Amino acid sequence: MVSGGSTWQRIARTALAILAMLGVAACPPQTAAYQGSAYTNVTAFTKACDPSNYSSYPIGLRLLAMRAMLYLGYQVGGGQGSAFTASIVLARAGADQAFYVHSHGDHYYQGWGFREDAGRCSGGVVAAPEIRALRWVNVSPAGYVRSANLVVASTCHLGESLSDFPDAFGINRKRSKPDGTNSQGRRFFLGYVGVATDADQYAFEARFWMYATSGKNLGEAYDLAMRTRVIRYGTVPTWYGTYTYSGWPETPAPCYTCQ
Amino acid sequence: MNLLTLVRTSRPLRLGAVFAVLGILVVLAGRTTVKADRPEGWRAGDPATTLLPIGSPEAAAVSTRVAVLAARVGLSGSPAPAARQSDLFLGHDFDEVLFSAADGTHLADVMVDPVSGVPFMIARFDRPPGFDLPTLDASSATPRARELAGELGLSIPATQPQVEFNDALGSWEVTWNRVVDGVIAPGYGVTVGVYPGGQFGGLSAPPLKTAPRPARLIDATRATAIALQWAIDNGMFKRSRFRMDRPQLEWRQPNNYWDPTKPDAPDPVLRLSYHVQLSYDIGDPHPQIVHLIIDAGDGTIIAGAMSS
Repeated sequence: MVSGGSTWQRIARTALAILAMLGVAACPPQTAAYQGSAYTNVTAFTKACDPSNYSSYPIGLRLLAMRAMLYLGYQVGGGQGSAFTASIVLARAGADQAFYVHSHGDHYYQGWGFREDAGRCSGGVVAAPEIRALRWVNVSPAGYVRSANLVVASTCHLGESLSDFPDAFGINRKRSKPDGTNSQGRRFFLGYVGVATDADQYAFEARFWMYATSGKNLGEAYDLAMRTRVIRYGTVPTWYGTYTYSGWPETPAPCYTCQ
Repeated sequence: MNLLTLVRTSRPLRLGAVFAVLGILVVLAGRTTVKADRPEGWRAGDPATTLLPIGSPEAAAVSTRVAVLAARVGLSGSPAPAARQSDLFLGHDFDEVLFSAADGTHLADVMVDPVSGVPFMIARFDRPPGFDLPTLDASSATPRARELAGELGLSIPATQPQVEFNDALGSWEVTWNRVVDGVIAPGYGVTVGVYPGGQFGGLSAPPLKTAPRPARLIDATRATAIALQWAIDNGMFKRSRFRMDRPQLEWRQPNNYWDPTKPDAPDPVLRLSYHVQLSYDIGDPHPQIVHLIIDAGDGTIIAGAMSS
């Protein structure tokens, strides 16, 4: 968990939280080294593309994620609708410490991944191998994937045991225990097994983010969101990483000059 | 569950508190304008809970009662005084007692009905020694779950529950669906989590109310016709791999799926409904799945969900 830090850091966090409450989502820490990206596919879920859909869930899901990521100390960018393209994702994915996506997800021809929006009903696929390549650090003898802190794949399928989507962000498909054993470091992945439905994702993620930003660590937030049982359509959320991780970046970045 | 905690430090913050008070005043001042401009109900970004008043003696008494209950299922740790809250998302009030170890580590979180004192949510954060020993299997988890529910004062139907192992929770999840007037309310019953070693893992028993059963119900044939017409009107019927399952009579929560002007949180009162599942091709490896919820009284579409 996070310690108190300096007085200025504490003031900064408080101010940041107040701004978050007020809906000021664009107040990056001045020394922000912790990049976060949040994307949501709007077009594919509009009535024009999918006649069954009328909902506002995609935009709400991104809003919830952005506010939480901001609270946790990330400088949040990304995009939605036509501003959510594969090229934008891949331009940022190599440096993302936090990553959120709500879209269609599956095991595509290109590998496990999700669809961009790009203003099209069926956008191109962003696949795990592409992201992994961007995060690959080529050092002798073996190289490694540079790890992100917090990754949420709000899609179908990407949380399945065979999915290598978490691996693309350097998060092993392992879970630590609440007593700290088998720690995976400051890493946490949240995703869904099988088919996820948007109403369930919305309810679950609203709970998860609420707990994650109210003094609970991410493992506890997952447990609480599960136990409050807001899932109605059989969606199965899952997680990997470190149960006791708070979600804060390596060292929380202060926000000295929020407007 | 704590109220939206603004500051993640364990020490009091004088300057931080000033900021917090100012922020709250600004929020409160702005609320009247905001409320006038939009419909009532929870929206993304709203606080999910709000604190309700509870006197110190009552908070301590609730805490003591909950501690007795928690001890029956093997929970340990020091209980904090109860916090009375209103869940703005789920639409009910509750008392919450957080159990912690001496070093401040959270061990469990218990939520009870403030009137009856009956628990409806227990999340166990610790994993007791031997929790992962393979003592129980799917069949032996059921009697153990029933026993634990009894310790918590919950009445469990004699019916056979659904049992599945949840990797991420590390426990067998034993669920008795809620049945009202002979109709199932899927996802709204009692679920008891039991670790493979037999220890209590958690509890879910959403305290949602049901609306009165309509005087007259449409039949399944009529529900099928409504769903099919909807699929035709919306262009789904002509999609490849279109499929529509038989309607199931269930208790379901209305949501804003078909009307985004409604609150983002689902309605807290269940209505007797027909649940129809449809699917069709969208060019992905898996088909698109749509859940359509039709009011069993008047045949209107009151909720839905779609796979992503």
